[in-house]
Amino acid sequence: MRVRRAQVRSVPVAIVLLSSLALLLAACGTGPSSSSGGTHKATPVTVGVVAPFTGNQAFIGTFFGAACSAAAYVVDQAGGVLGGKMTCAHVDNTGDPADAEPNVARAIATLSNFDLAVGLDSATAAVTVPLVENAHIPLVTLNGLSQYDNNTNQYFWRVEPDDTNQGAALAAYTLQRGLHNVAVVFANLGSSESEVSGTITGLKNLGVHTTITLNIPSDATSYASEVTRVISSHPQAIIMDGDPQTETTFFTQYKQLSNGHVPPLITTTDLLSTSFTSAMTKNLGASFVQHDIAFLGYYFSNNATAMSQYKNALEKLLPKKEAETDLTLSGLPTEYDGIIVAALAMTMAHSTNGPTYNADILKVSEGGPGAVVVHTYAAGLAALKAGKSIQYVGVDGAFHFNASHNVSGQFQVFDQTSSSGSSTIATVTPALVTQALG
Amino acid sequence: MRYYVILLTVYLGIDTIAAWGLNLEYGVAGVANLGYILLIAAGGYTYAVLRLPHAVNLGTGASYIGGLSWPGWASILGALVIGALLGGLLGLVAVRRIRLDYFALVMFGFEILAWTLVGAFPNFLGGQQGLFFISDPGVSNASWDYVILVAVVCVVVWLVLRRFSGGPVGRTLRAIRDAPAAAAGLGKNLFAWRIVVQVVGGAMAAVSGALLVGFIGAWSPPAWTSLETLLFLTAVIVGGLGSDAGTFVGTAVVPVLIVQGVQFLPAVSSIPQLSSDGTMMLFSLATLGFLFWRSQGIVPERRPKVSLANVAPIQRTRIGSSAPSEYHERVNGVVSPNSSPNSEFDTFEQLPRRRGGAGPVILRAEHVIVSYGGVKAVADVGFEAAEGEVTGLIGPNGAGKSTLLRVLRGTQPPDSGRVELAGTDLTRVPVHRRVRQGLVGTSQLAEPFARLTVIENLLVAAQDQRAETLRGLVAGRPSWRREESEFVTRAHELLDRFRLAGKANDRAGTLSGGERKMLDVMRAFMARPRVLLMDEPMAGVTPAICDRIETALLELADTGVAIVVVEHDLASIGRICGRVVVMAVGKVIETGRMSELRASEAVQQAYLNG
Amino acid sequence: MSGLMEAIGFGLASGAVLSIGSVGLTVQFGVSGVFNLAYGSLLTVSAFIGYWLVEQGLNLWVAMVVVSVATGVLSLMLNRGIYVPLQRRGASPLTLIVATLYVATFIQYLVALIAGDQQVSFALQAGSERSFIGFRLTTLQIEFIALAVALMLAFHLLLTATKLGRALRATAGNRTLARACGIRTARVVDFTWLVTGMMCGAAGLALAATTVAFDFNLGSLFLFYMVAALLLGGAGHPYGAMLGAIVIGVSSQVAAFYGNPQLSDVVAFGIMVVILLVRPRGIFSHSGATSGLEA
Repeated sequence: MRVRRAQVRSVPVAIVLLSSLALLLAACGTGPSSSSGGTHKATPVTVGVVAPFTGNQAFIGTFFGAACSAAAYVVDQAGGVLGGKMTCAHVDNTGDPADAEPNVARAIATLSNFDLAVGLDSATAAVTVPLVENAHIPLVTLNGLSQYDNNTNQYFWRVEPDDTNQGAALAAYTLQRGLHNVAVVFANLGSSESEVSGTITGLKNLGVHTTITLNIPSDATSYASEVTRVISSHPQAIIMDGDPQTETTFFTQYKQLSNGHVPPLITTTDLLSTSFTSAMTKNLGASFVQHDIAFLGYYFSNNATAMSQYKNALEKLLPKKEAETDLTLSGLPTEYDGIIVAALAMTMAHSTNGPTYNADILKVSEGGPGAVVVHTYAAGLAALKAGKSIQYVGVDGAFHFNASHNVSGQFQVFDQTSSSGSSTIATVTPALVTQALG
Repeated sequence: MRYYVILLTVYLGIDTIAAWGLNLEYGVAGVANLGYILLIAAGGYTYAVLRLPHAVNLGTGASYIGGLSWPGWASILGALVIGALLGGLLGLVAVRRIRLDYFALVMFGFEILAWTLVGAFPNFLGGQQGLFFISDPGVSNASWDYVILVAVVCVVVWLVLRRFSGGPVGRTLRAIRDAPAAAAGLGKNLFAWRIVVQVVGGAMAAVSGALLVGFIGAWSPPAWTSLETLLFLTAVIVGGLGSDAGTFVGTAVVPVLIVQGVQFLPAVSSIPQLSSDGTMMLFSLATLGFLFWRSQGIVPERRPKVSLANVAPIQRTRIGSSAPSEYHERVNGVVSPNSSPNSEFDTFEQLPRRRGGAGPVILRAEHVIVSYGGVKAVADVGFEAAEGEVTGLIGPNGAGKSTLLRVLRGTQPPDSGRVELAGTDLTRVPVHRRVRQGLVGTSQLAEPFARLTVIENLLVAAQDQRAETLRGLVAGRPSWRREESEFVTRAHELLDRFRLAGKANDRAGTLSGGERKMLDVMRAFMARPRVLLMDEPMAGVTPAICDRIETALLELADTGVAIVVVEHDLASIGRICGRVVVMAVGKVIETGRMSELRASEAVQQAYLNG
Repeated sequence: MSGLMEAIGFGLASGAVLSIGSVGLTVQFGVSGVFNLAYGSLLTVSAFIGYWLVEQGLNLWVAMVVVSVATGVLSLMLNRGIYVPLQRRGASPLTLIVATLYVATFIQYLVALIAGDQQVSFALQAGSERSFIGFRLTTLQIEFIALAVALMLAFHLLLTATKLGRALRATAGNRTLARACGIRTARVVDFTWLVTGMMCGAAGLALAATTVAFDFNLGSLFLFYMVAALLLGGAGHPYGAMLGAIVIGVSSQVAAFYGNPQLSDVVAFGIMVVILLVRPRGIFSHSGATSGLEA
C-alpha cells in the first residue's frame, strides 16, 4: 500500500513569508551600517542605547536613554558632530540574552550610521559586547562583569568599575560610617549576585559583623518571616540589593513589624528613581527617605560646569522633577561623559567611522602634555578647531583607562534631600575598597 | 546585515526544532505541556556546563556545576540525552498519575520551581545572572557554517520526527489525542506512548536549546520564562496543530516574522513598552482568533488518503466467517443486492440457522462486587460467556449491567471478585493488555477518533502492529509496509460490509450518530477479538444500521468469537442472542433464552419495578 | 518557638488572602468546568482599579466593594463572551485551558500598557501591630483574616442552606442531569462567574494592600499559589482550597523563617507535587469524583 504523503504545500507559503521578511528588512534598513567616513560633512551620528527598555529592568533603559538624549542635545546645540546631527536609538536588550542577540544584531544591520553604542549592562553584556565589538563599533559600557576586568577588546570602553568592586565599596562605606553590625539582604536578581559576593567578602575582610545574610525571592507578596528574622538579629543598618518593588515591600513590612523602628538602608544608586523614592516616602515617611537611605555609586569628581550643562539639558528634555531626582546621580553622568568623549574623538579624527576614531577616545580622555582641559563639548570643539589637543573633564571628571580599557576610581555616597535632589554625604576611599577585596 | 540574516535563519531553524517537539506533544499526542521551555532551558544549560571549562570565574560571583570542556558535538548530544531523560522523568511522575489538564498546570509549576532553584543556588547554574562566554560547538556562530549546522540538525530531526508524527505511529498518537479512552480500549498503552512522546519532545527541545546557547554563547533565567512557551504554543496553534509543515510555517510567522517585524514599527516614545506589550497582546488576540475561527491553523493537519487501488495485491485474510471474495467484489462500494447478508436474518425465527452454536466458556467472572459510595451497583455476581455465542445482558436501568461490563472490560476495578479469560486471571490487568489477549469492548457512547479518517480509525485498531515496535520505529516503512497493506485490505472489507466504503477517507468527526456506532463496532472487529463486549451497540441507530450490526455480530460469533451485548432493545436481543442474562438491582435474577425469559415472572417483575 | 508562632501567624494572614482567591477559582472550575488561568490577570486588574480608587481618596473598604462588583462583571463577561462560545464550538477542556492562558496574557499586557510596567505603591496605614497568642499581626492583616473567614462562612451557608447552593452543586455534579431536573444551569453558571469574579476582586485588592508595592505581574505570580492551593485540596472542592491555601501560606512562611527564604516557594510547590503524586485528585476528593463541587 502506498499512503500518499501529506503534501507539503506549506513550503511555498514559507518562502513567501521569508521573502516578505527579507523585503521588510530591505525596506526598513539601508544595508550594512558602514559609516561613510568623516569627509561628508553632514553625516548624522546614531548612538545605540543598548539597555533593557521592557521587562522589570526597564527603568534602566529609561535612564540610559535620557542620558543619551542629554548628550545628543548638548552636541547638537554646539553644531553636531562634524556638522551631522546626533540621535539616540533605543536598542532593547530586554535583559534576556536570547532576545538581546537578535535585537542588537538587527540594530547593527539596519540602523544607519550606528557609530557608537552605550549601555550594554551586565545582564546581557556577554552577548551584546562581542556583537558590537565584531561590528567595529566603539562601545561605552556600564556593565559590571568582572570577566571584563582584563580583556583585549579593541572597541570596548568601560566607564565604571565592576560589580564586585561596588559590592566591596558598600562594605567599605559601612565601616567608614562606624557601623559594626549590619544585615545583608539581597533579592535573586541577576544584577545583585556579583555585588553581594563583593559585599560579603568585604564585610568579612574589614571585620564588620554580619548579623544575618538573607537571599530573598524578588517581588514576593509577603516578607513577614524574613523581616522578623532581620529584626531579631538587631542590625544597625541593612545593606540591601534588590529591585525597587522588592525593597519597598520589604521595608514597609519591616516598619509594620518593628513598631516603626527601621534601621538605615544602604543601597546603590541603581535604585535612585522617582518611583522608588516616592513609594518609600509614602510608606516610610519623608524623613526616612531623606536621612536614612544611603545610595552608593561610582563617581570620580563633579565638575560644576559640566554638571550644570548636563542638568540643563535634562531639564530641557524631561519634566523637572524627574530630571532632578533621577538622572544626575544614577551612574548616568558617566554615560553622558562617555558620549561626549566619543563625539570629541570623532571630531578629532575627522571621522565618525569607528575604526578611525576609536583610538582618539583615549587621547581625549587622557589629554597628555599641552592638552587644553575642557568641560563641555562646545569648548572641546573650539579647542580642536584651534588646533590644540584636549582633555575632557566632565561631570564625573576625566576617564583614566588602563590597558584593558577599564577605569579605576572612587565611590561616593548620596542621600536624597527633599528639594534639590541628592547630595554627597561621603566618599569611599579606593584604598578601603582594595582592602575590602582582600 | 549579513550577520542579521544568518541570525534570523539560525533562529528560524532552532525555533522550528523546538516547535516541532511541542507540536508532537500537544498537536499530535494531545499532551499540553505548559512548561515546555523548561526542557529547552535544560538543553541549553547542559550544553553550557559540558562545553565550558572547569570552574572559571564567571565574573558574577556565581559558579556552575560540570565544566567538562567537552567538544561541541558531544555537548549537543549530552543535551539531547538530558532532555530526553528529563522529559521522560517529568512524564513519568506527572502524566501517569495526574489528569492531563492538571499536568499542563503542574508543568507550569515545575517551571517556576526550576526558576527558583536556579536562582537560589548561584553556584549550581550561574544563578539569575546565568552562564556566559560559552564556546560555539566548533562551528563559528558568525558564519553561514552555523546555518548549515542548524539545517543539517533540522533535517535529521525532521526524519526522526516523521517516525513519530507520520505513519502508523502518528496515527496511533492522534487516536490517543482524539479519544484516549477509546484508544486504550483498542489496546493502546496510553501511558507508554505519552512517555515516549515526552522523551522525544524533550530531546528535541534540548537540542534546540543547545544549538541556541552554542550560537549566542550565554544562557540565563530571563531567557526561559513561561512567555517563551507561549510563543511556541502560538506558533503551533497558528501554524496548524498536528501539522509538522504547519508548525514550520507558524514558527516562521510567529517567533521570527512577527517578533522581529514589530521591532521595525516606529516607536512611540511616550509608551516605550508599546512594542513588547503590544506584541504579547497581538499574539494572544491572534491565537484566540485562530481558536475561534480557524482552529486547524494556517496549514491544517492533513491525513493521507488510503485507497485499495494502491494496495499491493496480497493474500486476503479472513475477517469473521464470511467469504472474502464476496466483499472483494464490493471494493468500490457497489453493493449487489442479492448478496446482502441481512436478508438471511430478518426475523427472530431464523436465528436457529446459526452454525456451530455455543462452544466452551472462555470468559468467566466470579463474585464481582462494585459499590459506589456505599451502594452496591454489582452485588456478588457471576458471569460467563461462551465461544461462538452472543450472550445478552439485560435488565432495567440501574441494574448494574454496564458496570459489570466495565468490570469485564477492565475500565472499572471491582471491589472484589475475579475475572478470567480462558483460565487466565485478568482481574488486575489494565484495559489495553486485556485487548491484546483478545478481550475487546466498546463503550456506550461512540467515540470516534474525530480528526482521523474513517479508515484510519480502523487501521488504528489492528493489533500487533510491527510499526509500533522499537524495530518498526528504527527500520521505518519497509518493515511495516506489508502488514499495513494487509490491514488496509481488512479495513476495506469491513467498510464494505457496513456499507461505509464511500466514506473511507472522510474525517470520522463528520459521521452521523449511527455511522459512529458502526465505526465503533468495526474498530472492535478490526482488533480481532476472542471476546467482544458491547455496551448498547444498537442504541439510537436506525433499523437499517441495526440490521447491519446484528448481522455482523452473528457472523462474527459464527467464527467462534464470544460476544456479550448489553442492550435495551429486547427485540434485537431476541434476534441475536443465545443465552441471555437478566440483572436487576445489582444481581443476576435469571438466565435463559429470550423466548423463555419473556415468560418469566421474575423478569417481568424486575422490569416493572425498575 | 515564639518565632514559629509568628511565622504561623504570617502564614495565616497570607493564607487568608490566598483562600479568598483560590476558593473562587476552584468553584469556578467546579461549576463551569473551565480552568480559568485568566483569573490571575483579573486579580491584577482589580488590584490596579483598587489602587486607583484608594489614590483618589476612597476608603479601602468602599473601594473593595466597588472593585469586587467590577471584577465580578468582568468575569461574567469573560465567560459569556469567550469561554461559552468556545465551548459551544466544541473546544476540549485542554483547548479551553490554552485559550484562558491567552486571555490571561492579553489582559496582563493590557494592564501593563495602560498602567505602565513599573511598580506602583499603596500608601496605606496598615494599622498598629497587635500581638496575641504569639502572633504578631497588623490591624489590616487581622481585618483581612476576618474578611476571609466571613466570606468562607457566607459561602458555606450559600452552598448548604440555600436553594441556589443546591443548584450550584447539582450543576457542578452533572449539568445535563441538573438541567433535566429543571435547574436553569446557564443562570447558575452566570451566577458562579459573577460571584467568583467578585471573590477574585476582593482577593486582588487585599493582596495588593498587604503587598504594598506591586506591578502588572502581581496576579500571574499569585495565580500559581492559587492553583497550588486548588490542586492541593482537590479541584472543585471549596473546603479543600481553603485548607490548601492555609497549608501553602503557613508552610512558605515557616520555611522562610527557618531556612533559605528563596526556598519557601519550593516548599509550597513541593508539598503540592507530593500530594498530587500520592493523591492525584487532591486531599479532599473521593476516588470516584472527577470534578464537580463537593460540599
